[in-house]
Amino acid sequence: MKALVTLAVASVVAAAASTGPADRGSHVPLRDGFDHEKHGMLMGDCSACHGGITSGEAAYPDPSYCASCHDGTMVRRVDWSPPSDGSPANLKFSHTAHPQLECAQCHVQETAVVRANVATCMACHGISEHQNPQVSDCSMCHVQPPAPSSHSFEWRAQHASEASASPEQCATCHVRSDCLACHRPDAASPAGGYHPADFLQGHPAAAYNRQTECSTCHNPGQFCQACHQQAGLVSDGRDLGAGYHDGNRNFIGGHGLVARQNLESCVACHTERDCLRCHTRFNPHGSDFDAERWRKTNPTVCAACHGAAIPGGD
Amino acid sequence: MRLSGFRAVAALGGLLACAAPLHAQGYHIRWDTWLQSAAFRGVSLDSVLASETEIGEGGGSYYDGIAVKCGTGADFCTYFDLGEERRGAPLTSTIDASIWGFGIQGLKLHVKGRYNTDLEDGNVWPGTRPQGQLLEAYAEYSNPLLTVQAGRTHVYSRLGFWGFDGAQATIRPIGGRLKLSAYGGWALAEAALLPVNSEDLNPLDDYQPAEREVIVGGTAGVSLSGFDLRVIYQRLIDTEVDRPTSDRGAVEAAVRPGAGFTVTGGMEYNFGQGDIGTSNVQVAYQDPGNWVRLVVGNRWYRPTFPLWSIWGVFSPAGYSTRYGSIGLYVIPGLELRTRGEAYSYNQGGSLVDNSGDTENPPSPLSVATEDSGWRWSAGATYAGLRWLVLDATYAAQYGPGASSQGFNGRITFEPLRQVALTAHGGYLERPLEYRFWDAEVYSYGARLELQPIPGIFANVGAIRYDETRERPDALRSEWDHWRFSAGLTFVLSSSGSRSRGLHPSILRIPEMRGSR
Repeated sequence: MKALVTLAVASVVAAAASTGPADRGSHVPLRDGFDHEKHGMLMGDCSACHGGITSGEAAYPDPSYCASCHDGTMVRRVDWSPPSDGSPANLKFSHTAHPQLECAQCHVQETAVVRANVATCMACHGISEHQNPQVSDCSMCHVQPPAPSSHSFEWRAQHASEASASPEQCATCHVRSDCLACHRPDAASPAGGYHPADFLQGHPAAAYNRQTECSTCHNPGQFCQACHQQAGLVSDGRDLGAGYHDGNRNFIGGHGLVARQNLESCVACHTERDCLRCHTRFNPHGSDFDAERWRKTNPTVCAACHGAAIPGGD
Repeated sequence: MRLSGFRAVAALGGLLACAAPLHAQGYHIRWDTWLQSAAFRGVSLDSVLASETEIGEGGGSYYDGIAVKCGTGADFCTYFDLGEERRGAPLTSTIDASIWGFGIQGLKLHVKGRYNTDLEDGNVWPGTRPQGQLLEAYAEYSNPLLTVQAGRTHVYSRLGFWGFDGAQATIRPIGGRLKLSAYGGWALAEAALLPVNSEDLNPLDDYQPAEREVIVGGTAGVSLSGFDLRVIYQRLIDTEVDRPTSDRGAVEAAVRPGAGFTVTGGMEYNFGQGDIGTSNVQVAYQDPGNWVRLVVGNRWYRPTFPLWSIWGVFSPAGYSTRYGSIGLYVIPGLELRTRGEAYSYNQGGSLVDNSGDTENPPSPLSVATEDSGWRWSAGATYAGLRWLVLDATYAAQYGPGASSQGFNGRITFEPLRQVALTAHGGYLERPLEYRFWDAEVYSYGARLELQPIPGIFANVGAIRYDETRERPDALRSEWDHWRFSAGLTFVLSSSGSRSRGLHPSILRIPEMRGSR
């Protein structure tokens, strides 16, 4: 592990050195195409048009101010009105809270007037983590966005495929550590908020019918078997079929079909040795069992029944 | 994580923290503490002399009105009696801390640790051992092109959720449209914070590996406008025998062709066993006005077991399922929803069909079983007022081995933003195919959530369960009990933010309101 940490530190230092601490990213041009450079010669400074922005008054000039030149005589008329959609992003940023800043600190790149980008904020606020989706609390800087329309009632049960295929989409709003609230639920919280409050009472049917895949969040040994052991449900060396399956008195005689359909439920109570009492004599393999591939991949499991005489072995 | 490794990360953190000016330090800390008191009642195996039993109606053996199971020629018969009441009081305290601002832009330390214990004697609650659990502890450097993590971290993909002590690196060239990642280290068991050789992981102690597994894997992904494609490979190795215990890959894609459609799907392949694993395709449609959401999908599910266990050699059968759902948003704040699913097991691939074989007929003892099932649900949520949420759901399912039906509902009242009171109730009926017991349970509960001051959140709750366990003999029983819970959360951030740590968009999902 020491070597690993050394390697990690070396990687970090090397990567930092190659990128540099002040990679501020590219600035975004203004949306309306207004030529600030051209007008700057007339206006002198920003306050001529945007003087009210730090006091909370109008951020943009009144169109009549433009018409004082663009009157159709001196220069052509223009059809311009201030943006009505408020902040161009979902930021909490307020100009009135930053009166100490010069406009050029955020809005000038070389000679061009541009929109401020996130890196500009980070240069002062020292957060330096916007590119890292794992930093907690997006709401520190962003206003509350509405939940995407995809997040409907079944989203929690159905999000796996999309979250896995395009995790960057999730990272727009979520931090990775949030996943652990459900994917590694703690012992005391009522199922991490994923299951309904009465789920413990109703979990047998959900587990048996594979309504959800329990092993996505719970380790069957640590969670299922440990609890079933406390509840007296674990076979643990007792005779097969004693009592629990007595809804069908001949259960053991034809249990194969049931077991293959619900093996994950069987192993929540039964040990492997339970099955091997008989299945060292009765072939447990299905018709599609690829014995040769199993043997080549990991013959250890074959040896549980076949010992050293694994069929097909050298 | 080995202790020496953890110390190294801690030392690195201390060194970096001291190296940077204090005012530049950034941190976000969330401390959750949960306490729950819950009870459950299982079964207890008992026996009687065969000579004391009698043949009852229907031909079964009974003792004192209780159905018993008698082996042929055995001197005694067995039955399951009600087990004793077991009560657990798990206490969990979790700290999640991120620290940055070490003078290197993009460098962060992250730790998430947990303390568990059961305040009741007997340690009956699952997941409380070991008492100290380390979920994450890593140093990370990230910039738009590169992310490197070292320490205890995790990966997630359609192959599962895996933690490990090691390192992972991701590069995002071409403006992030291409993403390549690789990882490796000493693995934790799937969905656990313990390595596979931990005694706490396998209470049945069968073929548990003696040594910790090594995990290696990688992904390659392409993200274009409206299209994501990802290829995944992952292998776990038993270091004692130097053989794979899992060798799997997958491909998955998400396509957003526009007009409100999203198509997702993927397929797994098990190189170790040579078979196709769980695969799925789903089409979702959301109309531009957000009035309706339609989802249809098909999924082929195949259970996967590690190669260190023998379970895979029993050729577990997969099933194919078709599902669809409709969500209607007819007025602002009101969601009407229904979902249906039908599935059937694939028998041909794993079972020998000898039903027409006169020389090798099927066993006369074969258990009559289902090979298909269904489930559906319907519900409504109204969250149109800031101070009120109404929610009700009915769900039913029937399948091989088990079935259930029931409903639940809740009302959440938020007179102030800092106070939420929820009342909830439900009914559940859950007959199980291979057991006598048909249980029905009613539940009634209440939960209060408070934010007394910014950065502190508290909740308390209580639920009453009234349960009846029907069976056609003297072991019919009723069991009623209470369950209590309480939670306390502190959030501390260098930014002064005191949000819950969950993003507001999560809390806007109707089902999440009132659940934290």
